[in-house]
Amino acid sequence: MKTVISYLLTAIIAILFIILVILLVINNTILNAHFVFEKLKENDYYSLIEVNIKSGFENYMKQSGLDEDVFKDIYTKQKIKEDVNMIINDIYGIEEKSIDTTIIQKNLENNIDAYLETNNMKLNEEEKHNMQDLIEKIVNVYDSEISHPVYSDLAKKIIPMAKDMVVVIIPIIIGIIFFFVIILFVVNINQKLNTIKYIAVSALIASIFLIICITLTNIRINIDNIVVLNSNFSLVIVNTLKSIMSKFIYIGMIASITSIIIIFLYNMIALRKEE
Amino acid sequence: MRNNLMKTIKATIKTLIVALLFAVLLFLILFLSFKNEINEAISIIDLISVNKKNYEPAEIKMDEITKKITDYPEYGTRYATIKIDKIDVNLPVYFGDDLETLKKGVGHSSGSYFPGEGGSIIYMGHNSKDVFRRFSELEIGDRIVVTTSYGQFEYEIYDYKIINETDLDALPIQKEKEILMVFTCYPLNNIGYAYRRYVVYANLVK
Repeated sequence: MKTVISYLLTAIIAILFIILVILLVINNTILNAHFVFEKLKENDYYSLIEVNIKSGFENYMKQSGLDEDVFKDIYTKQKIKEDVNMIINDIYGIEEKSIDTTIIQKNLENNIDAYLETNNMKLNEEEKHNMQDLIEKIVNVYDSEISHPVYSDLAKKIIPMAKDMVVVIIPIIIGIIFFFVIILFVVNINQKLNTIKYIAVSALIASIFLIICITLTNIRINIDNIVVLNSNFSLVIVNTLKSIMSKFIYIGMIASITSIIIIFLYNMIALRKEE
Repeated sequence: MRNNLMKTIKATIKTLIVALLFAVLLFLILFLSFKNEINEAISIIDLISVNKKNYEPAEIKMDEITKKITDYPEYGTRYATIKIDKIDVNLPVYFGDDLETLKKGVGHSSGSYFPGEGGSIIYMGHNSKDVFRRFSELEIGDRIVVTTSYGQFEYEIYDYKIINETDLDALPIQKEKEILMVFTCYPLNNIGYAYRRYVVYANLVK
């Protein structure tokens, strides 16, 4: 009877361990701005964004009647980095700011004026209006490639809410685990060492479960093929997902090995006591 | 000592097996309880996944009897060449009409028919020097040749118009007669963003 109750408690603690590990990993990865900055740097996201911006400009270059040079040097790599970081900070509630595109607009206007002067061109009213529209579209390309408003607005809603929830739930889960560990201890009051064995078995169940889940996910879903927005953005998402999944595998392996060692030591001590 | 070690190992393995069975059972219970949700999540992920293996664009085939394309090209892939001798145009045609596709050459509106299918075909390209800058030189009677893997199609221009970019009525999709409509931004040497389009209409002649 004691063994049955102990294994039941072991199973409950294992489930709580699984939930705790998932929440801790999420809290330290997706919900952590530092992790995101690390991934952006690792994948050289700022350079990838520049490629996307240039590609976006090209969509309007050909039909604009202007030289390619007009669209050059209207932003710097440093500005891209600052603006991307600003968006991330805004999403994670670190600092509320929005991208300032006035400098880009100004630089583009200056380049266009210089081009028109060099080529002795004067714009009529319709062309002036079309030029303004072009400038607006180019600035929008920059803004949308940096901020991806649909996604960033969604992230801005979800991430702070998720962070607040996780921060509350983690201590609760830890508290509940402690509660069940105490019950386990009371049930095995005459063989206190058993409690350690059962906790180790819980950790082992949790780690095997996580390893099974991640392994099957890797088999069923080809993460490398995921495409979000464009290939450059997808590269960062894919590498981030892989990093998170490796964390789970790593935690699972460490917990498994540690648990097996503890169980082995327990069995050795228990055998000696029997003798 | 050795006996004790073997006993310890056996006891540990027993515990491992119990733990493994528990983990598998837990996995199965969760999987069966949330099977629909898991399958839905996998479907969503499959939707945003693209098979990135390199493959050659499939050669398009046309059924001779029904005159329908049997292997449509993938969006964004090249499937034909457009030749307009009058204005020295000899360009690749890609299936797709987004800005990314138009960077590569002439785009084919994904909502229109293919050459040979007997309906409206809509092509578009930029008014840049390397695409359709000389469009205004085209006259009624000029020929446009589209070459595909399933045949060559020659069209003769019978009309041209300047329309607004939102004027979709000027580019009707129909299946009664094969008409090729090719358009570009207007004015052809515009400065800035162009809101109008220069369209040529051509009938299939051979």
